[in-house]
Amino acid sequence: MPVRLEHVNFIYSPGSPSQKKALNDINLLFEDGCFTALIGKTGSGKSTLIQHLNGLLLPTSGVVEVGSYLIDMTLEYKKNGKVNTSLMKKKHKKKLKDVKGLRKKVGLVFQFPEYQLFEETVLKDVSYGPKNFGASEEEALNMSKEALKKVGLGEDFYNRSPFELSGGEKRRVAIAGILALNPEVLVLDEPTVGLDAESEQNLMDLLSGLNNNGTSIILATHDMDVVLRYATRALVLENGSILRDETPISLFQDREFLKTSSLEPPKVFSFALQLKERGLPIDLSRIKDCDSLADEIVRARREHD
Amino acid sequence: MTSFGRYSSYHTVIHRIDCRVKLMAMILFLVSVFLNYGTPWMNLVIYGGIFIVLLSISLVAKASFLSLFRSLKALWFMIFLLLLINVLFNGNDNSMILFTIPFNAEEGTGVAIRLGAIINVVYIFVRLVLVLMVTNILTQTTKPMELTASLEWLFYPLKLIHIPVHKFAMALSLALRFVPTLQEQTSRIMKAQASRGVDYKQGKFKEKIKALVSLIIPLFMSAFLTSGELADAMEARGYDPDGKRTKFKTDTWGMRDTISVIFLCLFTAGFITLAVLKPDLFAALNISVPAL
Amino acid sequence: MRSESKRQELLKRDENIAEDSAIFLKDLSFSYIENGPLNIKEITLDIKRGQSVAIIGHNGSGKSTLAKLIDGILVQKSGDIFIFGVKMTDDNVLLLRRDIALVFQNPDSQFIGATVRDDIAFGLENECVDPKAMPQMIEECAKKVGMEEYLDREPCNLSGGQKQRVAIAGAIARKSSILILDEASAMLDPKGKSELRALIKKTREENPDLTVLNITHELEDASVADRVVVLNAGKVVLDGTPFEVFSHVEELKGMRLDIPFVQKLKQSLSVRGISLSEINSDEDLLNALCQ
Repeated sequence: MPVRLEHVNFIYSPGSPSQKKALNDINLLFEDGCFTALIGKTGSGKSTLIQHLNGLLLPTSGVVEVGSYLIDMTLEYKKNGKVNTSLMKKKHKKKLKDVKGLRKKVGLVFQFPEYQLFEETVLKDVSYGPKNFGASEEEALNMSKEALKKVGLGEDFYNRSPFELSGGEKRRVAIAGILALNPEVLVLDEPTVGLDAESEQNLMDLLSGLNNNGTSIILATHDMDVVLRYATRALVLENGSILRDETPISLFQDREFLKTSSLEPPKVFSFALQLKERGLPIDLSRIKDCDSLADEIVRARREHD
Repeated sequence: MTSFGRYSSYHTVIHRIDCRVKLMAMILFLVSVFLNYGTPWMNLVIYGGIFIVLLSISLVAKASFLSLFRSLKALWFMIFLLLLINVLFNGNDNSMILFTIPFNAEEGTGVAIRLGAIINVVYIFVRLVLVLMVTNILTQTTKPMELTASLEWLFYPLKLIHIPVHKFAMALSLALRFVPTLQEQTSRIMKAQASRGVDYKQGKFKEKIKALVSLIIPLFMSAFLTSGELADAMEARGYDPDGKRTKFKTDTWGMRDTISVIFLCLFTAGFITLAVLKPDLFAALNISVPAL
Repeated sequence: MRSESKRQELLKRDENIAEDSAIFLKDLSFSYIENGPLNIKEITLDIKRGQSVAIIGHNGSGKSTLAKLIDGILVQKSGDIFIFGVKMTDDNVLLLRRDIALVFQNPDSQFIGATVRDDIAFGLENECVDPKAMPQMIEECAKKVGMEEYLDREPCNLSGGQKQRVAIAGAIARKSSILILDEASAMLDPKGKSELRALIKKTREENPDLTVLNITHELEDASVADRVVVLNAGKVVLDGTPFEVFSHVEELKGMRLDIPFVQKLKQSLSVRGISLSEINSDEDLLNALCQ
């Protein structure tokens, strides 16, 4: 399900002294099955942008189109100056009762999602989402079990209290709570912050697996290693505007730009770049992590000789 | 436009007066509002005087008080209720009957509306407005934290009878400090649950209760977590609730504070004199007013 | 005078502890649940004055527990803690704590004051510093951490990194000789992390006697420390220079810990038949590979 943003602007608390323009004329298209990384400092507008994708925030002006859902703030906004008539079904141009349908299609995982857990058992908590979207008790349980399986939590977790789990496990339960909705687009805000190396690896493998099965992944992150290894497209946000929109590889080669926007390229990539500058014929487009770099070094050295 | 009772970050003279002076002033104004100055006419004149003083202070402090009447719709309802109660249950009121609402014309029974009841309601209304004006000036011109510190100073004598005033004050200022944190957490949890299909506005009663639970439990969990971390952080920085501490203060006592205190003393002395002597200025100046 | 002699009595050094020891832990054990499993198991550790020590270990290994024990926030089940040779007891814990500054992970929940100024003052108030001396002390410390422009800001208008800098300023103001960072940069963005790292480096340079205990996930923090201690399941499993510790690649991986890039690449290469055992820096590795 493609996601399209057109001339999206967003202003926080307009008309008040603390008014702040958070998004500035954003034009983007997220293709079906993409793996896109959103990069930017705290306060660059990443979180604001993400909340537009499932209708938590409505643009001050502009259009957000997600599959058959259309949030059009151009016409409606000008016509009657009101916000609530904005969510339209594209074909019928008829007002939708709620934004729920959109939120099922676009799953959004907030930063530190473990804070959203509240039920007595893990299984109940995960099935809360599906039930909200009208699934029967049994359907919801089945969906939840499947989601828990995806995040690597087995049956022995079903009846445990989410509050007695470790930090990494809590996060997995929270993510399962969104996965249980079977979203076509999965948006995550800094999902790996605070996790140890192993949990981080597991989570990223999970996302990569979902992506291979056709789920679009949009990931806000500060971790450039993750961007290099998993993302096919990197968006750099600054002060609410899209500064760069390209492949991670081309982004990480632009040292000037990285320096001015205080972004640190992944260690493995800058190392590969240095090898290349010293004459080793490294194909940068193949570099993802240490293993692929090692492969490339072996290949390049053979070629060199 | 500032809203009623909320701190507004202007830098007027009133804002800069030492909070303790303002707190004392508020208390003395409150006392003067509830003193009896003799005849009803004298009371109304003095209340009028207080109103003018408070109005001018409000203007200087840029403290909007008009919003009071706009935002507190309940106020009017309360006045109506007071009127009703006063009229119906004022047993030993022997004042002039203004008119009678007949219940049963043949038997001659009915409810007598007496002047005393009306005057009582007017008193209550005027006093209420004055009280709200005074507190509004204080809260609009004083940071909550300063107010807490002043309250601690005010209740200092209670320490002599072993009431831990400083602990209450610390608890209060920490609560104030963490209001924005809790607000932010609330909005974050609401958004996270909304992404799981929770609808806080629509739905059946049962669903709404569930939606509320899905907000409140995580909010409590995170509040407990925060308070645990906060307690550790305070301990780590050497806070000992029973130990000695010094008090850091940024503002020093200035000329304006001394002047305010002098004014305050004069006003208070004046009010007390008026309340004790109860002079009837109307009689003294030979102004004839209808007897109430 | 009586209080002064009492104070000296409370802060009496144990002669058996080395002169240059800042923190000495002796057979320290701790459990969160009475008679429950031990979260800290008989740790013995001597941290020298002026040393910078990184403590690493995966979540639940006991790192943060150790920090709270050293600061006397938690009380050990058995064993002893000596701060500059003085044994910690119920009576002197408040006095000893004055020498220790502990910066926690969550920037917001450790910000106590209403403004930056008040927050730095909080620690000084607790130590009964003369209020007249405070403004100048606060301004000096704020300057040292680059927060002098923000003294009247409220915490909700500060970034996480700025709040952590204020926490460091509070530590400098208290003139603590031991600085413990309990994952202080874990919740910060890369910019906040690198700023905090630079600030700690600068603070160490200005106070060579400052002992720094950095509990961290970040390899970059660990690799600049004088000494790295690895905790696993409440025990010290590795202890040495960063170079020594990070050469135990297999053990670290077994404990679900990340390893530095050079080690990681060397391992990937050795699997592919390129053995470079003697190399330990980026530069050497580059040279070796480009021969």
